[in-house]
Amino acid sequence: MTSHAIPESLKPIAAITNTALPAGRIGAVVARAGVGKTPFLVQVALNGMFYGKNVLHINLSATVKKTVVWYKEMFSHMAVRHSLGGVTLDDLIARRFIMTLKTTGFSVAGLQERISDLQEQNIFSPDILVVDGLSFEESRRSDVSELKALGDSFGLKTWVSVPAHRDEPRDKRGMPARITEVADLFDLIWELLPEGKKILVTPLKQIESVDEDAMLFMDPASMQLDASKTAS
Amino acid sequence: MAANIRKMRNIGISAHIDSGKTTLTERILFFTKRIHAIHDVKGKDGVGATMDSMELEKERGITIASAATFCQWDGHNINIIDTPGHVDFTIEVERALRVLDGAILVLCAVGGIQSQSITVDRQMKRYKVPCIAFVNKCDRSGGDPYRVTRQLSEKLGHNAVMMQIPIGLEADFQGVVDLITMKAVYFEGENGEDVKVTEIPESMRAEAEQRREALIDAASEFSDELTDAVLEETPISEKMVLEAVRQGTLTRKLTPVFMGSAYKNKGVQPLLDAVNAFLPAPEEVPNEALDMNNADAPVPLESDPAKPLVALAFKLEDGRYGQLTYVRVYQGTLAKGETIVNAKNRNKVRVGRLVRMHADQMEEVDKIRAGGIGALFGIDCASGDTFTAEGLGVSMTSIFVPDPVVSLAIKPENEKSEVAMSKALGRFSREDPTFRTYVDEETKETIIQGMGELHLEVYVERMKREYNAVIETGSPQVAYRETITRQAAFNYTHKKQTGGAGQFGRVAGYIEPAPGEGFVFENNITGGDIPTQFIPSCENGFKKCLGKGPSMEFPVVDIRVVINDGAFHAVDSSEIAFESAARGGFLDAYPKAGPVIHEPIMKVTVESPTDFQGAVMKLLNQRRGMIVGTQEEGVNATIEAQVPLAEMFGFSNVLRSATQGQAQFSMEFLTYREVPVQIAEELKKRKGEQK
Repeated sequence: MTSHAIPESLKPIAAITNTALPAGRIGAVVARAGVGKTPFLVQVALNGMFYGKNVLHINLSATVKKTVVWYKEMFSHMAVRHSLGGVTLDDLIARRFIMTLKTTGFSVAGLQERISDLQEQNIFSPDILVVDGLSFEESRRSDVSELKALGDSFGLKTWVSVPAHRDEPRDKRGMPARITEVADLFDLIWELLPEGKKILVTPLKQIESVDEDAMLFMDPASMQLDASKTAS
Repeated sequence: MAANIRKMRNIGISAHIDSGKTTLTERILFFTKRIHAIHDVKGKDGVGATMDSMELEKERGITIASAATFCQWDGHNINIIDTPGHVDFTIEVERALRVLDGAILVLCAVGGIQSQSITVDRQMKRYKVPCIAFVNKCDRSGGDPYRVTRQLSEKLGHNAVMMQIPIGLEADFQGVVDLITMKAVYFEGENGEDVKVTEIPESMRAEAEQRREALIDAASEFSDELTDAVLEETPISEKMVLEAVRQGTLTRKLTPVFMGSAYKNKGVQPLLDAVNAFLPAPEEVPNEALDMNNADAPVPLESDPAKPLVALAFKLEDGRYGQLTYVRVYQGTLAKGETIVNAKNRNKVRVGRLVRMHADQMEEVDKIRAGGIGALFGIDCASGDTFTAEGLGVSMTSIFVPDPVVSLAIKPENEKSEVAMSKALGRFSREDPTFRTYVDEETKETIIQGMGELHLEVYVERMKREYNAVIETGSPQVAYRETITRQAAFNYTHKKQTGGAGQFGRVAGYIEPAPGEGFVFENNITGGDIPTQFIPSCENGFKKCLGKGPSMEFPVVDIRVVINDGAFHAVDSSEIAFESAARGGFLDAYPKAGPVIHEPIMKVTVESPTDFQGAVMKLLNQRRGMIVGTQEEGVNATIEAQVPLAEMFGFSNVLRSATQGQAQFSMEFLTYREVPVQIAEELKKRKGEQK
């Protein structure tokens, strides 16, 4: 498939989401329920797809159908905001593969087997791995470290959503308790924080050499990502 | 006949093939005393279940055409539409759902929610049909209504609530515990006709209590009265629960689950009680017609027998006594001897014989009131036509009819077969709007078109069986299309001077893509460069080019032709001359407009044990399929893909052998999409060879 002209207005946003994680590294998106982890990850995926990257989207809490709806929804908002030059979601979906697994049945070893299978049969070869809906009610230390190793061996940029609670205690770095146990394993941790009329994407842990001034935020109505040079 | 519209039910029985809906219908008819003996679907006794009135259905053990049948249960009049389960006959299901007010979703206790159930469920959602579920085959080994109920929630997103629990399962299946009355129900006598209600077995009491709590918890969301009773711990009456469950069912926010084994005559009577208790009466379902005199503005219909008539012809059948037209009356009364108007062509027709159907036997009636279903005799109309009282000027919304995607050349072997074939084709195309037929002018072959390979196969079979037509068939062909991708200009002068009157005409303008619009012709000529009387000839000239596209001879679609300049000659210009000029202009511009070929893409859903997931994905991938996603649930996986129809011929055999027969698939038309360059080249090559 030919790569598409990237709309100018999308470039600064995609520049951040596409470069924040180098291949083989793993990042977490932390937020309370309903703040927007899924729309955030879907846009990270779409931005990658625009630049010709293949996305394997693992959803552990919703069906393929629901996940597809998220993509449709986010894409249609994107089409309104940025002029996409006639590019339709249909042009991009060959770069996406959705896999939904029952949480209880989720194992990184199983996932590894599936990815190898897809690659060997020449069906799909991912560049970006999105893992959404993994419950952190129990310890996920071994899962996260296995995911990290998996991403490393396949050269994937791995994004994981981590739910937080409203009144969760925070450690001295400002990390919600839920993630402190695994914080050292993640190369990057971003928290989505509603503030005023915006949802700010707040870095709790960054990979060096990131443009410190570039800020991402989301519009709570459309859940669309936006970038600005200064925090507002 | 009971006149009370509140005690009327129009229901469908929808399900996956082989989940036993025909057997269930048969048992319902037995218990409601419409038939007096029980037959099995596959006809061990050579008689066959009553609803499958076509020979072919008897042989295959599946139900192809929907037949409406009437029965009575506990003072209620129930019309049952037996709907086909296979997706290839989807139009039949959709048409049936349109006239239904509620449905029984039959699920197999062993197979659970299968891909077909998903399709049928989606259709019910589209027409907002409230439904109750019946988990059938609880007597079979591996039958598990608990699992199926869970799947109904998880896979189809229903708020599924068990209204019963089974007493014993598999070979030991004896009866059910009714969670509303908290009684055990057994089905005794030779055919289970004696319903015995007793106390719940002690060993099951705790579980029954627990499940009842879940039921009341779910139901209380739909009734303040029930919620109050729960909170205040006052006694909960049966009526309260029934009312709450009914509310939830009518709004499609709750799906009550019943269970049994139709084959073993268990659980059918409580299901009939549930139809009366939970599914809506016709007046509880809002229906609309379109006002043809007021830009198709929607007009609500009232289930009042005294209002002017509005009725929909939803199915035609050629029976022994001529054409039978099934109608659903939405408003007013359809009465014998009255004159009604077909809204489509404003033809007046007199209502002759009026009948109520019981599969293939009929019963004469004088009138059918609002909400009722019946059949008219000897009326010439098409499926989907609206009949109204004189001067009303409304039409029911047209039923969504997709364009056919597969075609097949057929040839009668002799003259006798030719006559029979043309008779059959006429009938089929009147009955089924997705089935079309025409004669290819070049090859003189008769072509039939439909929604899938099986769809056409069934009609070919029916021609052989019902009409004794001996027919040869070609291989199925995909309905490709051509379209353009960019604007291109034309400026063409048609000039001919070969003695006698000459021909002269010039047209100029451009063609451009018009996605989803078919063909659009725009005349932007000002100042009479082309005299007005020749404009229709220009349009005709362009239109004639569209039937066979210049690049591959496939129909050209989604194109806008704009003419903005031209010239004429006072003597030599004629209609023919401008038609030729238009043709020349089109052929001139078309190659410059980036023509491409489009092919139908199907949405394919495969269900398979996880062990075969890799094999299935490989098959789909080999067929140019794009996998949208995979869904794993325990030992089963669902793979959703978009695959070109051209690659799907014979897929069922391949899938069967790759998965030891353990996978199944369903498919429906999704969209048209551009054919990849490589495949387009192959198509061109093949076309070249054919010539």
